[in-house]
Amino acid sequence: MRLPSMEKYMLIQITISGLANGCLYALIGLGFVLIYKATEIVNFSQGEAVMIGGYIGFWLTYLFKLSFVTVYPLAIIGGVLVGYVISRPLWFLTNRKAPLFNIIVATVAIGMIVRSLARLVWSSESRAYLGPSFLKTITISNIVITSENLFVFSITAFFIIIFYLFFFLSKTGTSMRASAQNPDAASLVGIEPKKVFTLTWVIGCALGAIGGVVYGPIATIMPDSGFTIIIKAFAAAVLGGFGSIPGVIVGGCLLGVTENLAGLFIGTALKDLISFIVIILVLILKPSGILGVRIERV
Amino acid sequence: MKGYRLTKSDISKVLSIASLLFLFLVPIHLGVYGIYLFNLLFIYVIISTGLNILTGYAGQISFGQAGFVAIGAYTSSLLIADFNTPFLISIVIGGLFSSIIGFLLGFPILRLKEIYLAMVTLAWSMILQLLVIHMDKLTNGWDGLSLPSLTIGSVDFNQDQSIYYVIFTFTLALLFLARNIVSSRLGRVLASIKDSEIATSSLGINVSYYKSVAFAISAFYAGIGGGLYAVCLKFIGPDDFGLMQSIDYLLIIVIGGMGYLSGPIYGSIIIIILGELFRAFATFQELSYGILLLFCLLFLPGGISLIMNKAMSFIKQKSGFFDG
Repeated sequence: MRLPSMEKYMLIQITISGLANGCLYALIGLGFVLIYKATEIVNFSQGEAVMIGGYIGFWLTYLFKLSFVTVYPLAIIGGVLVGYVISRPLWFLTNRKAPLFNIIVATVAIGMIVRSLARLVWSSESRAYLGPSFLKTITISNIVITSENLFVFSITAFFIIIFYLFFFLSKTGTSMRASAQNPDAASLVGIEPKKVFTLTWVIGCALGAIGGVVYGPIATIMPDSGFTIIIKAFAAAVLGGFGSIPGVIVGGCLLGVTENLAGLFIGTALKDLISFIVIILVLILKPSGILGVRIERV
Repeated sequence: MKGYRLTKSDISKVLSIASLLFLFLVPIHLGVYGIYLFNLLFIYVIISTGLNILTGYAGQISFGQAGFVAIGAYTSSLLIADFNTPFLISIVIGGLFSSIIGFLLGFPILRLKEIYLAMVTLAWSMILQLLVIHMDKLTNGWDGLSLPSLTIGSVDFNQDQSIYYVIFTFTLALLFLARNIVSSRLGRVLASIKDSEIATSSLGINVSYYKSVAFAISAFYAGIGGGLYAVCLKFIGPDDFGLMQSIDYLLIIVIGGMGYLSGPIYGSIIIIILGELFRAFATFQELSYGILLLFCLLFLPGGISLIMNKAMSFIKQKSGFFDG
């Protein structure tokens, strides 16, 4: 297909902004996958951590005019607190060997509680704020990479690298991986399951909260925005191969680009359909996803 | 000769006859709003009884029950409005159509493990809701569908009382059907699938077929419930079939007691009461649902049915009266 040069630029442009969205999905999906890998629980309240991160970003940047250098650490602290609170009832259930169904529905219940509390405290109005603008917009022969997108790329890369270093090099990360692989054997060598469980949730929700601060300037934050984003994160994880950490990063970027291209060709009204279709098609046709993690089928 | 021993089933027989009588007389004494609440209660009971068969008995998760409710509601509404089909027939067709779709959908997706199943069913109901919104030629989009007046021959079914008896009859019939399903061979197969799929298939039972059947049954109940909902409210819109509704049905069976026939009844009563208490404050409503759901999962995994069953056997044990 030969495109006129203007349209070719537009295509590249849309791909780039899709990639920025995709980075966000990857970041949030990362926490999701981490929790799933270590505890086999799909966290339906992950979106609420994102939402709270978004609100923290809103207060600190919009109301207190703080720079992002302080906003991100504070958002991480917020995410850690949320993760700790969420993990308590879930550990109670896991420890008692409750059926997985009950644990998953418990995350839904926690999500409902957090969401309605947020609605009570902050009202249902949507909030918007600007991201940091210290980066310069780059223009390469008609293709513009805005400073916002550039910031999203760099902050995602930064946190993913930090996560990788922690998860694969540090001792705590190694004990988390060991516990995910074989909880019983891990507890035999002195890794406390409760500690690892809490740590997993804390880190997972902190990644969600970081995602929330990134998400705020791209979209708007309201108590319900957690659900919209969690579906995308799940679709990203499924696309890349559920439970695979590199998979969710690849899947997230791919999903973001696909969504934007679909918005161009099919129309923005049905853009939200993409992630749902991805979930269904990938799980039915190739449940192992792109990076080929085997999913147990019956 | 032993004296007559009043058994647990005798107590429940007396109780159920009393409550049947009560429910039969309800519309005479209640106003329009009270009748509407009872109608809603019955519709919840129907839909969650179907979900209970799928989740409580067969152990499969569905986060997308509202999708099947939507299929039933829109099918029957369109049949009534555009084809002048008698409304009783339309409701049944809506249920059957929904169950066929459930059966077909069941084959590919029920092979997945529970978390994936949760996500696929959720995604499927969200797709359905988006389609309802965007296929506005058929469904009228956000504006929703209104139903014309309902008559069978010369009998007018627009009054709340007559609709009440229709819904009541459907509820009784479907509860009876559920009881029979559960105690039949099919019910035992589903229970054994819940316990162990591998063991069940080693007995030569086609597990994926029976799972699809369970899915179809739950879709049938949801479809009938949807049709009755449309007939009861005379108006349906995409908002009635969102994720929140799907979660409500899960909530009902968890609070009421999964795997008990009485579970959906208790759960629906609780939901209706809570919904009425916080009618003016939707946020408090969601908060109370969430807290109750979490409480039941943490401390009361058997739900209200378990408490009631224990109370029944306690009464039977303690009271010498029943020993004759």
